[in-house]
Amino acid sequence: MEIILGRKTFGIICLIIAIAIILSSALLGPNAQYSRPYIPESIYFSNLDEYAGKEVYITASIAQVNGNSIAFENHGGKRIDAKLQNPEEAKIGGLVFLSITYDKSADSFSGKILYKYEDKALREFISIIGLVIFIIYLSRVAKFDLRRLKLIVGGKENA
Amino acid sequence: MPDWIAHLGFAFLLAYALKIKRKEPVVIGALVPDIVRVFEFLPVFGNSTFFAALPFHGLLLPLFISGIICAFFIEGISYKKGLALMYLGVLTHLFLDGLMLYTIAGVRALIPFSFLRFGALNIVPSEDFSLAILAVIIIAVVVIYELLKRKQSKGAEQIKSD
Repeated sequence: MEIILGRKTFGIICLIIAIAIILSSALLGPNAQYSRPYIPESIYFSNLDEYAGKEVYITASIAQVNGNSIAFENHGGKRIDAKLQNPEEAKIGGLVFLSITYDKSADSFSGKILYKYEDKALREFISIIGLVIFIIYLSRVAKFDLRRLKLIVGGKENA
Repeated sequence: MPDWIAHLGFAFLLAYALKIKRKEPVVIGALVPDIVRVFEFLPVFGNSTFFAALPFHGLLLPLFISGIICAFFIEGISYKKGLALMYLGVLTHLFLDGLMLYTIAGVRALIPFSFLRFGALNIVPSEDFSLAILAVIIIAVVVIYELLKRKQSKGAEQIKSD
């Protein structure tokens, strides 16, 4: 006997599987072997001993520059001081990608700026231009039914 | 990730190059892995939030998210075709994210079975906006060309009917 599943039934099955994947990742993730040095910063900063002597990459904004020493804040808002190999690259307020190593015996960080992120305002401006162009295109080819919250593919062409 | 507009542009251009008539599901699919960004500012479960967000850049979860979107939010195209086109968009997103260097999350294709990051393609700095500029320029040219072509063919049809 052939079982015919409707569009909405497929959608509900997909929803259940998606929730299962998200939950299993949230539960299994912290215990899983994931590739270093790409690790969540929050874990790094709460288990310093575990990562002592290992190179770790982080994204951070620079809060203070003092000679070859900088203070930066990670995404969690935690302030850390580190000695840099290339302090000339550091600029207060700038968002950078750093490679840092924790020296347990000296209880200090040392590292290097690998990449400086570009100007956010310009990127957002470009994105807005792109969005406008995309909306013009979509409004020409597809129809959006706001009442039912549905995108009708090719709706304008069929009309 | 590259700018979302770069994702959009790449998916649109691929659909255009492959002569796909219904490009909308492809471009929407290209944004599916970043759907999690909506919840980025809700770190309610601490570290678990990071791991819950990772599968959105895998191969499996975006397939089911696309399945949900196709079922409830898209009409005018068959379910299978819509899903296939959306997943094509998802693959373009994962490909572009695979190019990224200097990123912490990256593409973890086999999640939840393996949390290893796929970083073989690390060549473009993360959030490099030159990709976005290029994407916007190319999209603008293609969209203007498409709209002009559409207008021209409509005009020709009208003359014929007159």
